Amino acid sequence: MWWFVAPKIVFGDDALESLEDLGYKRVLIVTDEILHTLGYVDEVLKYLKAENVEIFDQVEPEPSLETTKKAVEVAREFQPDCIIAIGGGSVMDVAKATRILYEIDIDPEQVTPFVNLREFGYQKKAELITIPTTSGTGSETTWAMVITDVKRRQKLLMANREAVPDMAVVDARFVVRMPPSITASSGMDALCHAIEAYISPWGNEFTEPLALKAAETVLANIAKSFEGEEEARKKMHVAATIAGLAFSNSQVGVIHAMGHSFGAVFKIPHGIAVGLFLPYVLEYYLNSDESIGKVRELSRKLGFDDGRGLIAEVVNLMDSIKLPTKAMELINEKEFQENLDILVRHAMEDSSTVTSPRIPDEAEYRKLFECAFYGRRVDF
Amino acid sequence: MPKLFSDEWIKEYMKAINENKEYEEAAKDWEGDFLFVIEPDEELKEPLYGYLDLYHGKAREGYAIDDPSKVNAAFEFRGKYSNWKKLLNGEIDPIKGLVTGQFKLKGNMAKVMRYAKAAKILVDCVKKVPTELP
Ligand SMILES: [Fe+2]
Repeated sequence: MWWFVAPKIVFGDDALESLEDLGYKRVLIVTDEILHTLGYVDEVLKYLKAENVEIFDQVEPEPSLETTKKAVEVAREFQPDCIIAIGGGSVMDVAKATRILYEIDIDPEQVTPFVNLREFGYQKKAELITIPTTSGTGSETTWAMVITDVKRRQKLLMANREAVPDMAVVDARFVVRMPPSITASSGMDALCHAIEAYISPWGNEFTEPLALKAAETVLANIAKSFEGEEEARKKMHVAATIAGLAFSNSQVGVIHAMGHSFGAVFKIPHGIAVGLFLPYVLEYYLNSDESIGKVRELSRKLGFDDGRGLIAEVVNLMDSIKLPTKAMELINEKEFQENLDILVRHAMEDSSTVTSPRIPDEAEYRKLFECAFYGRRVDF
Repeated sequence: MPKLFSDEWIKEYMKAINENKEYEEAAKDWEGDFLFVIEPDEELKEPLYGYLDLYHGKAREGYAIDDPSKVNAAFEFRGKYSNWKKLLNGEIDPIKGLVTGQFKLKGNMAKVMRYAKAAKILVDCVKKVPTELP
């Protein structure tokens, strides 16, 4: 038994117009200050016909539990029947958590895929609409919420099927002017989602074709999108959502486990952090009988002779979109060595580790981090 | 062959866990005891209960119990007999089983999430125990 859970998805030019017919009475918009200032909220309000609108624009990058609690307070006061997230992964994650915590008193840490929120009295008082303004996180479709507990210096990896948004509006108007560096890092995140979804042991008949389509589209368009080509940006925007659907229903693996750990310790943006480990982890998977099969299969379907061909292409692409392919381009050796134990421990404890086609032990994780730092080949 | 969830079976299971280096590594900071419950269905008339205390990468105590109220375990893992059979022969991944609701877990969920690898190995260890099904 398994599920495929997905929001209703409106995509393409003018997708925002779909907001005209929704008929909600009280809409809480969750966003960040920059997007608010840039007029993204006004763009949405042009179409939205709601009697009452409240705006919460305090979401920061790597959002904290405190911020989430503030949003929850606003929601409890305002009593929305719809929450609309306008933003990237951080905004969408806060909106997802807010929708749940607004309604029930539960320790956020206990919001895991294993609990039935209905048993806690959750009745979905508010629908959730996500409007992604970057092309990468896939958060508009997923069940996960990454919120940082600043006091405990820990990322809460909240996830639950009830968190999956009801509708995602995938309209590229917000990404055509995205800075190239964000196009690059968020695009790499989407590529990692697609690849990890495809090779995940939890992958299935529903997720596989989506993962393949997303990987194909990203490989063909990420460089052009980085150059600012509008058509390529539109394709990347849809591909990121498709990759989100794939990994949300099959999970990610070691690339994300290492990326989460590295990103948290050194405050590196998520897309850069996961992209960095992609070639090394693929090589690690190619070195074992238990994981080589799916990587090879994916590589061939993408038009490469074998897995090495895919890795070479990924590294080329990363060079062309100016993303680091070694951690030493981001941090110095001393910092790296001082934090290696923590990096390894966090990666081992990451919930993505267990859904990998090959699960590294402590020594292997250590070597993987070292390979990615010095740019060494993975020969184990 | 020892019967599933008999005292003898649990002792064999503990032996398999305690011989597993991978488990020792993955669960080296784990502290928490479990009550396992096999719920009856068409093939099983009465529920079966097992207790296992897992501590710092080892199983330090374990036995069969008839009255679950006698133990106050930090975690409770329960499911129908038909699903336990699938779990024991590898057809259900334990974490996936929790996500689909085929198994239910009481206790600190976030903690279990962080030790997912250990959970997987615990299930793998069961396969090393010769088992007579009820
Ligand atoms: Fe990601």
